[in-house]
Amino acid sequence: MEDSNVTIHRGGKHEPVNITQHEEVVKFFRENRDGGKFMSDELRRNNSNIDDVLGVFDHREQKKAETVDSGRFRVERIDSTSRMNQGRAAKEVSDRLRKNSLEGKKSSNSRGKTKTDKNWKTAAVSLLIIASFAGGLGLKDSVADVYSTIKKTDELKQETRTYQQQIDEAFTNKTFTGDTQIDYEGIAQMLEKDGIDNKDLYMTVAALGEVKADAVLDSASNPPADSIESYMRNNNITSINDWMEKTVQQEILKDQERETQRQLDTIFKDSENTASPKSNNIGGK
Amino acid sequence: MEIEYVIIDDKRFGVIEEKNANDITYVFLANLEDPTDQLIRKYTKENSEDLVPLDSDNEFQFALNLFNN
Repeated sequence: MEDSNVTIHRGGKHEPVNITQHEEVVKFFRENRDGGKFMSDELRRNNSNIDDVLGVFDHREQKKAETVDSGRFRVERIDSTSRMNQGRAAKEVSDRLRKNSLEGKKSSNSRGKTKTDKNWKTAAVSLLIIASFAGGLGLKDSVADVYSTIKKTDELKQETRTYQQQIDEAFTNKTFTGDTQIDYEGIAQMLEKDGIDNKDLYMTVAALGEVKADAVLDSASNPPADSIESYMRNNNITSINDWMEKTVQQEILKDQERETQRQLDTIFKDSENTASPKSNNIGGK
Repeated sequence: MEIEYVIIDDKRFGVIEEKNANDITYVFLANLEDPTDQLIRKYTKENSEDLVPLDSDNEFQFALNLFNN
């Protein structure tokens, strides 16, 4: 087996992640990119509740510590506490936003104008994005919506094309030898170049991206996967992009089917209630 | 950078974004002194003079979705 030593830089705020062994490097990227499924599974299992999901992550942090020490999957781990704190902070901001939005009295809509620091707007918008992500995840009951949220995050990343290109080129050229770097700092710079002058937004995207990285840590306790080449060959996958897209599409279709079924059930229950006015069945959850 | 603000509870809140749906405009606001202090208010086409809190969790969720889309 070919050994690789890949360093993934996650912006300036984290330590690099070092992963040894070619297969596990490949596995890392494959599962990292498939993290959306992991997250949706967790949401489904936990009744789409962000508290539960964060709780799951807490539990996974403990598992992670054991995994890191196992020696089989050597990871000089990123600052996971930082990511966890970001998750909690997101929920706090979301909770505060909800409370503030539902409470208080009527006020005047008369407007004034003032000059403000550019950083204020950046911070305010970023926090609102974080809060809406966290709030959205907490209340959405459709896994397809979660996919859509995650895909939106991915799209932001892919706008820069750097992340996508680096992975694809590495797959195509088999350049997982020596140092391969995912340059998150470069992505941030490109976001700025594209007019998204928003470091905090980038950090949000990076933090959500790191949620996906949990999948690989969970899998570290499982037997090593086949190499990506044999995996693709055995599963008739000719392109990792197509495979990823199909996987997501299939999940979305399944979710849509479930949603349609749920709506049919509701309609059916409603019609039963209409037919039997004395029934106590009010439908819904 | 110039922005609009409204005064709520004697604090100045900058207007981050406004989104309209069904003759209701949702205003996304953040405290000018503390951007973590945020809230959503709404006004209607019939009464655009008053900003009022949202009615329910469902409406809050609706407003968040509106912001995201």
